[in-house]
Amino acid sequence: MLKAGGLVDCDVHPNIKSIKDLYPYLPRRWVDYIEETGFSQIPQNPYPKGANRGVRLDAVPAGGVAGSDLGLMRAQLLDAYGVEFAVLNPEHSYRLNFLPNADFAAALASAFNDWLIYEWLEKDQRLLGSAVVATQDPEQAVKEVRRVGKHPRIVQILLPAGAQRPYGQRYYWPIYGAAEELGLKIGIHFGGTGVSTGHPPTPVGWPSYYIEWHTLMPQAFQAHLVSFICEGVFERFKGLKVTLIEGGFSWLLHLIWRLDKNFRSLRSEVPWLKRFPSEYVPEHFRFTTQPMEEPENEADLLEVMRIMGAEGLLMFASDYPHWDFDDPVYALPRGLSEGARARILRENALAWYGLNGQVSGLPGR
Amino acid sequence: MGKYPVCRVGELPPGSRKIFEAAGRSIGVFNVGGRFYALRNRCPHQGGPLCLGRLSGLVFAGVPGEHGYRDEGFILRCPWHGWEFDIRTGEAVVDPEKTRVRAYRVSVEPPPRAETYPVSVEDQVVYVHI
Repeated sequence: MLKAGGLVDCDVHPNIKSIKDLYPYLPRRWVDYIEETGFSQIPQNPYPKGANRGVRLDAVPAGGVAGSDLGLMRAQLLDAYGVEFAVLNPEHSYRLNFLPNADFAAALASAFNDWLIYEWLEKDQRLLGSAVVATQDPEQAVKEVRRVGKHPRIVQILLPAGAQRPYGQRYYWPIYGAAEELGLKIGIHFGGTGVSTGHPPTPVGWPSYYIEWHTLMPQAFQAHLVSFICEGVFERFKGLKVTLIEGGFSWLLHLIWRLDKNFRSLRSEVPWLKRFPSEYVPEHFRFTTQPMEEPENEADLLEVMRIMGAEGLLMFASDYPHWDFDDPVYALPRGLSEGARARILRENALAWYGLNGQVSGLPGR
Repeated sequence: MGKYPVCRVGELPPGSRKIFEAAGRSIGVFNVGGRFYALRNRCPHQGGPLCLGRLSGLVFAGVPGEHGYRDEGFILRCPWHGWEFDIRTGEAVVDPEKTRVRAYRVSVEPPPRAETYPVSVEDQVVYVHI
């Protein structure tokens, strides 16, 4: 196995073996509710995952569930690549935003967060966590941010890309206020489109296939990015920072060109903006790399990355143990400079999450 | 091109596979319906352990809505990203000219043995018949 070394992985998924793993962290009322109703899993979109049931087949422990075994995660990811820090985004957790029962969702969010802290973060110093909140009731979400957000290795509040409304809207602002105060990033993660009480996964309705659902996920990220900027979130919460996880990045060019052009004509609609929309991006957004864009001609990607200033905006993510995992040794384009490679694999994330890593070797090819 | 022993035929029945090391490489040998195929156990995409993947058939269609299925057992899907390869050629299904994994020739041969000669004993003397 090639060693990458000096690496921060911004998207790793620990998983529960079953909903029962959360029982120690749930009030008795909700354990009873789960037992009585037979509730077994957080709602999913209706698309069967096209490849290997959604996970790397070699990441499934014997008789178990991919992502449920810290030992295997160490062997296949943390130790194998010399990961300094890995940001854990618990599998399934963020989709609790599509449960109709707001109180049940809030209880599950707290349970996921405690499970994450006690069963993962406190067992390995390299692990950092995203705490999930249930946005059905912003008031309870704020309480949860304040309850778990002071834990030294909770670095981010986790929201799904799929949403009931664009994330820039004032409905969510109390959550952002609490996050900003505690120095937590807002992490928006791939998924949650076309789930249960949510909207269809695209503005034109339901595509037929998983390949379409997966490919079109960036639409949700684009809607949120534009909303955050236009609603003036960053004028109200000047320290708020948003990590876009697993949503792609090369679409940013089209989006900000169009948005800046429109701003010249339509600025009076959003008079609270003090800068061109694109100027909010470098300060307030980071994009994770996986699933890496892989055009036929690598030089095309390098050109796009150069234009968008990718070496300051991107942070490596593997998405372990999912089927579309990126290997840090192979994922980035070969032609990237050593400096850009170091920033994307490590330094950008250290700065973004305020980590003080030690300098060590960087991966070759 | 060296020749490396893998196992006895009986240890690799139809439908099974064996992954072994030879010449510094990890290689998977498959028995599909009594015939043997071998591929490098390393996906050309990101280096995933290709030969641990699931074997399936080739889903094909002439027109939208068709779901043909052929070449059952010959299509190997990488356990990481699900890329499809034909184990008979090592070629990727989507772009066989450009993307392929190394395929190796497999042969079944009698085990190597020393040459033997008939021996007889006559009048307490041992004779070798050459």
